[in-house]
Amino acid sequence: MAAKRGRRALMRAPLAGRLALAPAMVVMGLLVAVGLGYAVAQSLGMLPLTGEPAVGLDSYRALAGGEGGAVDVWASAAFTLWVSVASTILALALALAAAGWIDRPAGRRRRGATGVMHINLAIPHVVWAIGLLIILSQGGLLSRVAAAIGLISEPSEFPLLVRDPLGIGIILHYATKEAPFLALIAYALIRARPRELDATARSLGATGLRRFRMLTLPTVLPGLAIAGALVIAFVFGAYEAPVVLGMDSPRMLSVVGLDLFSASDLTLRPQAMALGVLMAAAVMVALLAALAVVRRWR
Amino acid sequence: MAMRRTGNAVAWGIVLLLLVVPMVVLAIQAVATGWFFPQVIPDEVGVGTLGDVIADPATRAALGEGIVVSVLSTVVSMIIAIPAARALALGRIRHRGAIGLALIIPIVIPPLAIAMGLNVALLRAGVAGTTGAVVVAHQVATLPYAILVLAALLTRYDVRHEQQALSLGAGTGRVLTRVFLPLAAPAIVVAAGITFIVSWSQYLLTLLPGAGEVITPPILVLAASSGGNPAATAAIALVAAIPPAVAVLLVVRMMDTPPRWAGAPA
Repeated sequence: MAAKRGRRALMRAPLAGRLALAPAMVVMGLLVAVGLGYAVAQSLGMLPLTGEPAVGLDSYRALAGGEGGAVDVWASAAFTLWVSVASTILALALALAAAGWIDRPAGRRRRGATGVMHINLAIPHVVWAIGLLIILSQGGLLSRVAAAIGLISEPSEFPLLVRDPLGIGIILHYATKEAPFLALIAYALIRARPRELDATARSLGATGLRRFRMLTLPTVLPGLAIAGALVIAFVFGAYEAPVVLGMDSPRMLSVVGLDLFSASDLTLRPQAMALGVLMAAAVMVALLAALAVVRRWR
Repeated sequence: MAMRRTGNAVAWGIVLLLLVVPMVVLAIQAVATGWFFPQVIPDEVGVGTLGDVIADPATRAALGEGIVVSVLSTVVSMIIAIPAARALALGRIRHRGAIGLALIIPIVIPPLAIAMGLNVALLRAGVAGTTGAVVVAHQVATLPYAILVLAALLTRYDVRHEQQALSLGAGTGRVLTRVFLPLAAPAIVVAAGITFIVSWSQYLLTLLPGAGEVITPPILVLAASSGGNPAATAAIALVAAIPPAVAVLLVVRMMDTPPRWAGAPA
């Protein structure tokens, strides 16, 4: 009996079958199903807070038409998309530069830089946003430095970098906050590639920039593309930094959604749910499409 | 050579500017008594505001609540994630890729979408506003990260250690407690640290399931930021960054120690 168990064990690790996955799948499935399920139900007019249920797409129509809530949801959607894409592209550029720079045979620099990046990951978004606000606002540290070297004399002469219509503050927040995450991924991918490739290219006379373009980029791009897709999706649903660094209009979608949800006018609740459902659907569809593209590209 | 050195200095400058300066500025703002345009350097510094913030019962309550929520969320996530990650990394699972993706994809669902629905469900169940409700809601964010990190680290784990123990007659339970857990401990600590950090930063998944009654540091910080006392806001923000910073130092330390499972069993 024991021998039989032993022989079977040589073929597979114990307790690593489907049963081990069951708790995670049940918990995750329940949370997502309950969370999104109630959102879908309330967005369709089921389970109303007041009055009789009237099932239909009214809340979606009202949301798209800006009824009641007086929100231009389309402007918010465009703004959210712009901020997500711009901050991700900026973060990717920073991450590639940082990863290329750490990837040199100086051990101390590598440890120091990756250590700092890990610490950056731990800082809550709200905290980082407030740090940026102190630096970038009109009258903030940067404007005072500008005044000290005689570039400006009044805070109002300093360019609007936070609470601005283009979302520069929010973009800078996510570019700086997500770049270390992407750089650590890029760096891990670089390290996983055979070291001889670099030496061979060098002995064949490839310059640093050429090695970066022909060796480093192809190694990191597929993995980094997936990580970049995660960052876009994350920024798309972001809330805290837009509240601290954004202005009242245009607002990012999550800010609009929470305002609708917590409005004293309870008839706006279904619109908040509708917005949440649409955001979740948009992210899932976009991400699955991106994964399919990356998979084919590989 | 000189040019390379200048290049390095510039690169270090950019890294520090992007990664460190906001926190340093936050720390200065927290101890500055009056720091306004056009002062580049505050006229006066003092730990008065910082002391007031730390002594404030609201700050202490939020720190306590945050630690309870994040520790419990981490424990729950690890209990569920360890077997799942073990199966994903070591087992022969059909549709492994699809299952892994399904478990990790909730990371990208906008938290607002799930948090609003969970708020309704938890209210109807009569448990919204409890610490337990927030811990349950946090699993949406923490569980995928716990599984992702653990599964990635466990792919380097050598199953032959367990097979050796099995062939010597150890039962499954003994193999798990005497072989797997001790060998996987560093990976579990790393994953737990990251899970703690993820839970600590949650805003919407705390606010809505907590129904405004569970106040963790991020909620306190965001509330303070609209108050108009920059020094106090900076002080609260600084305090809120300390527990996750401690957690990440632990993680970095653990990642620097070489895993004990490296290589085949002797």
